[in-house]
Amino acid sequence: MNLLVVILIQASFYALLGMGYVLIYRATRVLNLAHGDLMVFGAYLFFQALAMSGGSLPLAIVAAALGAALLGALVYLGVMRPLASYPVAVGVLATIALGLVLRTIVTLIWSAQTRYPAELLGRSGRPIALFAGVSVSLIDTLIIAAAIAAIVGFPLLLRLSTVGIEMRGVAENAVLAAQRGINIHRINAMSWAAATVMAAVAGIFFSIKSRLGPDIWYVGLAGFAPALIGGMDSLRGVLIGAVIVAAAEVLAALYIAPQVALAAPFLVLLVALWIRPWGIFGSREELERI
Amino acid sequence: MSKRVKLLCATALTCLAATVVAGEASAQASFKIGISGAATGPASPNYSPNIEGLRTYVRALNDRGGVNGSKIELIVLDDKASPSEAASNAKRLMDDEQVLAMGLMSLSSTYAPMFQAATRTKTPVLLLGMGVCPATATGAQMNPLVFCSGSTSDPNTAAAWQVPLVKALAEKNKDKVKLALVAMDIPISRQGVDTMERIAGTLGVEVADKQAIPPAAADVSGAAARIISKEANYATSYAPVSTTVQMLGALRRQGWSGWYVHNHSSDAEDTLRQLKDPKLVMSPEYAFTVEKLPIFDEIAAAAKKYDVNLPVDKLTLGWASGMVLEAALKTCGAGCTREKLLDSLVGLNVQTGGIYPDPITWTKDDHRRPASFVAYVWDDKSQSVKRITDWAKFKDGEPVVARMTN
Amino acid sequence: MSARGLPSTLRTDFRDDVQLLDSGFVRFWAAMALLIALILPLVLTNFWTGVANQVLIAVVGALALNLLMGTTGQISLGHAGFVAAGAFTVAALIAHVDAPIGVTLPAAAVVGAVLGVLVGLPALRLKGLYLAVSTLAAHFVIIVGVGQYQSAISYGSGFTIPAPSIFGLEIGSERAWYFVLLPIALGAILLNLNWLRSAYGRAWMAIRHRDVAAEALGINVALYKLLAFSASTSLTCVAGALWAYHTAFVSVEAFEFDMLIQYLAMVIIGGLGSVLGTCLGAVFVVVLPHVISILADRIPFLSGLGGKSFDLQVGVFGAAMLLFLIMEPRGLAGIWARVRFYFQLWPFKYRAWES
Repeated sequence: MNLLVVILIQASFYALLGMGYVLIYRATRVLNLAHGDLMVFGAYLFFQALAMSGGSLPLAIVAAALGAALLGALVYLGVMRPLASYPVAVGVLATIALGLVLRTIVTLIWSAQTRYPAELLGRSGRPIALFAGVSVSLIDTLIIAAAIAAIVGFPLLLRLSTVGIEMRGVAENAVLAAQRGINIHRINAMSWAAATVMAAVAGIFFSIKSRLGPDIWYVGLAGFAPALIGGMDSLRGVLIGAVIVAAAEVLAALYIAPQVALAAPFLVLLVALWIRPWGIFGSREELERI
Repeated sequence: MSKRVKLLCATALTCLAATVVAGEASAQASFKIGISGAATGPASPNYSPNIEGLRTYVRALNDRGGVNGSKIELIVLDDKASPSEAASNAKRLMDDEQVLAMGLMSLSSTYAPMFQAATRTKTPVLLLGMGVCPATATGAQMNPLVFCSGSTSDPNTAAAWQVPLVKALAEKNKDKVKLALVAMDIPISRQGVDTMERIAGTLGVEVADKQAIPPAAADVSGAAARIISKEANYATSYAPVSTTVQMLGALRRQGWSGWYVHNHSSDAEDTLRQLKDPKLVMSPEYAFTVEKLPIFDEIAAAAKKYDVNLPVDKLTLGWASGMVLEAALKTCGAGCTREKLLDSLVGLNVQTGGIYPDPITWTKDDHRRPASFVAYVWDDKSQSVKRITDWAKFKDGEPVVARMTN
Repeated sequence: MSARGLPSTLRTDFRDDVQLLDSGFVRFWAAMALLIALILPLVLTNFWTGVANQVLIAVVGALALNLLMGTTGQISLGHAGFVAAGAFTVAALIAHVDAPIGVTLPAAAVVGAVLGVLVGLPALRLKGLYLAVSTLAAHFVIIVGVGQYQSAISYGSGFTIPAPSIFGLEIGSERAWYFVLLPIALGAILLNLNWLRSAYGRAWMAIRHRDVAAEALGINVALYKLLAFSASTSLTCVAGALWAYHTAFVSVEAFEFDMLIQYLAMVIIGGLGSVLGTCLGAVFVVVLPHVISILADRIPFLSGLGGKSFDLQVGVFGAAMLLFLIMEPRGLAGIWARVRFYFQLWPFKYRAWES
């Protein structure tokens, strides 16, 4: 039972990251390999806000979210927009380059020292007993809550709000959407902003649970596996992908070795690429068009 | 294209190359010591404060006039606890910079390339701060260039203390022990854990699980789940403090309420204060600042003077390393070379003002320093760190006995 | 101008057309380059000769990546994994059978060829984004695999590689390495140049432009794709083997993303598809962090950067890559071509035909 909870927590983390990848793909048709660095940047913003606000968690989260949104929009307008008409390969390479720049900025501002935001919060991770002998900590419940909020909230947003409908339009056919009068650059900037905020939230919780350092971008990179497995343009698929990858990782650590758990997301990804490259719910034409 | 332009281009390129390449800084009359340490990266909490402590000591020393008038020039390179970075640092420091001696303050996985380069260039290697002592510091396979000053916890020594400590603790709590052993996936850590398993066997302590965590592991919930599933009620590690913090955090989050004994490492006292976990036991070879020795005031004063933003307990091991360096170079004297330094190191006797209870000395056949162990825990009632055992001195071949204080 | 006073682009017989050094301009610069290359180790310090050696090894690896990405248009993010494969082949052969360099280098090439076929198979089904991702996944699988091997055999502390002996001479010093690596690098350059001018090169370029059309023209796209992967990976493994010998130490974390990023930077900044560009890119990428370090020492207000120059290099590469991707897709080679045409045509600005 405890095992299921552990997998659920890990899946929530992957779901938050994976949704970011999917949002960005739907907007700009590119695999954002800088997502891990966006996550790290958001986590550092949180750390800085925490330090400056004297340990106030809600204030720091809000500040970090705002900062992350701004960052996402800037990244789109500054880097992705000029590259809009270039082939996909260029976009992917550009995101790699962007990731490097972000990582260097983080190192220059905050140095490469490993930090522990948990220290600033004064928490000791004491568990809360739930049921059937299962325990979780406060941070873990927050992660699950955040993931559920995103999973439920975002599709609602896409279905009910004007912005959401416009996002869906741009995702389906950007040129047609532009001709219909939708400001695609504004919409895409918002998609990038939303994706960055989700990544930042994931990063915040990770850094509280584990550690914060420029080297944890690797963790954010693993988030593209659930997105690809579920289908790069499907928000539904990401959830299933997240559960599969999380289960693989935790079970590998439990039954094989912690070292293999490190590579588990990519092994699952390789298998998925062999069987069904466009993902469980992904649109098939994505494959031929590229 | 005119010949003149061709000539111009050729000259310009050569000049450009020459500017960059020419002119290295001229050598000064100072003792050049190379330090390769884990200043950044996941394992850095165990090592980077020691680097700062050493730097502070050397700064204070140089301001006092240095060693017999000559200053110590510390060249510190970050190896990010990665063996490949260490390999390139070794080349740069021992071949290019021609340092007198190398100081290592990093994970033991970085030792192999360092020792190889040291043997090739005949450079003495000092394991400073928290540098774990390799098995080649003594015995049949001894490497005569390696000296352990930071820790004498070669794989056999540490296990000799931790397992009896767990046993004594369990006896005091009237528990039946099921022990989980946690290593980091690096050589000495795994050897240490293997030795602990062996000693546990001879002492009649049951081992429930044995694990090796990769150095850069981001999430250890799966590994923690395994320990809980094997019903371990005591856990002990032989790894840097970051591994213990990660593992203990994951265990507590899943509701584990057992005792965790962490090995000798730096950043231990501060970790106790941060986590405030009454069942986390540190088993260092050095004194914590709760012992209120005068040397800690000295370190605090220097930290204040040089604007070092770290608590005193994080600087003590680096400070002690500085004392070792000063003593070695003083004995070596003017015109110190690598061979002279090697001779000076054997037979050295360094008092560390109580940071280590025994003086640091080496013999020709044993480059480990004498060791004594102790244990500290966080006491909720007094809201401070408390010592829970007497000092236990380690003697080769004799089992260590852990005596709990009331 | 060719020897007969006619413009170099006017060919009158086949021998002229096949010539690599086809004009006085090219001949002059090739001679200059060779001269500088030969004098370099005698002029440079040991440290800088070591840097030059790193450049030479990087040239071999970068040319391989350029072959795959620039010429054939297949995105490959698995490059660091292949270098690791080559390096670990050497480490394993030395650890288990104490093989000499004459055995390990060809062995690395063979391992690379086989690996290339394996990794190239997904390329037959996938393109663009998905191919990039599958090569990335392949990188992780290789890295974890060799990591487990390293963990099992050397308890995690890596493999030390003793200096190799070639024809009885031990190659220990940087200078000796230079004169071993220089001909190898020149050989790799010539190999690539010739591949590009051959039927293989033309087929690969056709695949890059429109593989459907290439198939329709009768080019066996599947075969040539596998050949491209195989050739590229084989050359990369050789570069990895040379790297292992030169660094004298093999451990898995040297082959993480940083190495992939360096190679990507080399081909992108140099100019995708151009051999000269890749060489320039290799020099740029390897030398830059050292230059930053030195500049930081000399210029006071940059001194804070000196200690971080190796962290900075990643950011500088990223920024440079972005700039080149957005503004000058042909990279350094493009800039070089523009400079060269300026000087060649001066005082004219245009010519009636492109060379």
